[in-house]
Formats: sequence, structure tokens, C-alpha cells
Amino acid sequence: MRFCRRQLSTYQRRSLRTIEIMMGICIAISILLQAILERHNPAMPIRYAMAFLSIVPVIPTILMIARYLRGEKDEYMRNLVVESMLWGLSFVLIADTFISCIGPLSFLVVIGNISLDIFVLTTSAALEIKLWRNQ
Amino acid sequence: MKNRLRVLRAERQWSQADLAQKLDVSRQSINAIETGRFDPSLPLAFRLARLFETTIEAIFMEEPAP
Repeated sequence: MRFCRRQLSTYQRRSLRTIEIMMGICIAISILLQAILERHNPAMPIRYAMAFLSIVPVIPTILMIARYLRGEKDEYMRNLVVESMLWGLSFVLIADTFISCIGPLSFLVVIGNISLDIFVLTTSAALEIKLWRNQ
Repeated sequence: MKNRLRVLRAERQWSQADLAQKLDVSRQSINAIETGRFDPSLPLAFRLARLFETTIEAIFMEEPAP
């Protein structure tokens, strides 16, 4: 669905690409840290350091999204991005609520550790679908 | 909200892309406004009215209540 992007302005394309890259970094770090935690049992200070490391790329990503929304002159595009983020947030809340009710017995509990990934993927998918529908 | 944007644009033989360029918005915005999926803000409505040399009321019409 990337062809939808051709109709966007340079600012929109550049901003969305940067946000996607930052979100990709967030996912990569999240997966890497999860893999380390599954294979090893690090001491608490290291766990704290890893937890801090996992949120380091999230903060600039959120700031980048906020900067994009402030700079976006096209109010319709701004709406699309905000709506897509709401879809992402909704999926995270739904998945988290569902999993918390099932409890730790289910293999699904692992999804609770990838809520960031769910948010990123759902937001990206929602935005692509909205852009595609509005060609 | 209903609007006459498509008609006004057609009268001037502008494409959606032409209008989008004149208003400095995306073509998707024009498409969404024309199809009634998106109601523009007041500043954008004023820009549209100025561009078509008419009033906002001549472009946008309130839909009758059900």
C-alpha cells in the first residue's frame, strides 16, 4: 500500500518515514530486550537499566509525533494520524484487558510484553488503510 | 454537511490535485471533503470561499435533521 504515499507532501512523507523508523527502533529494542530476559536472569539493577533502555526510543518517538502534528498544516491528515493512533491504543487496551483476564496460564501472556509492538503495528496498519481508502 | 465543492471545482475545470495545491492541503483532504467524510475547519472553509470568490454558505449546506 506504499503507493498511497506518493500523494503526500514532502513534509508528510519525511515525517511519517522518520516516525516509522523510530517505531521500528522501538520494536527492535523491545524484541531484543525480551529475548535477553527470556534467556538470562539478570540482576535487578541490570533489569532496571534494560527497562530504562526500552523506553529511551519511545520518548523521542512520541515527541516526534507531537512535532509532526503541530507542524502539519493539513487538518485532515492530522485527523487521520490521531485516529490511527487511537486505533493502536484501542488494540493495546483490548489485548491487555483480555490477557489480564485470562491470567498467567495462557501462552497469550507473552502478548502483554509486546504491547508497544501491537500499538506500532496497529497504528501503521490503520494509517495505511485510511490513506488507501482516501485515494 | 453537504457541499458544492465538486461542482465548483468542475466549473473551473480543476482536478482535486489542482485544488489541493491551491489550498496547500493533500488531495485526500479534498476527496474527503467532497465525499462528505470530513468537514473542514472554519479557516479552511474561509480559504475555500475566498478561492471560489463566494461565501461559505454557498459552498457548505447544513443537512436537514432526520
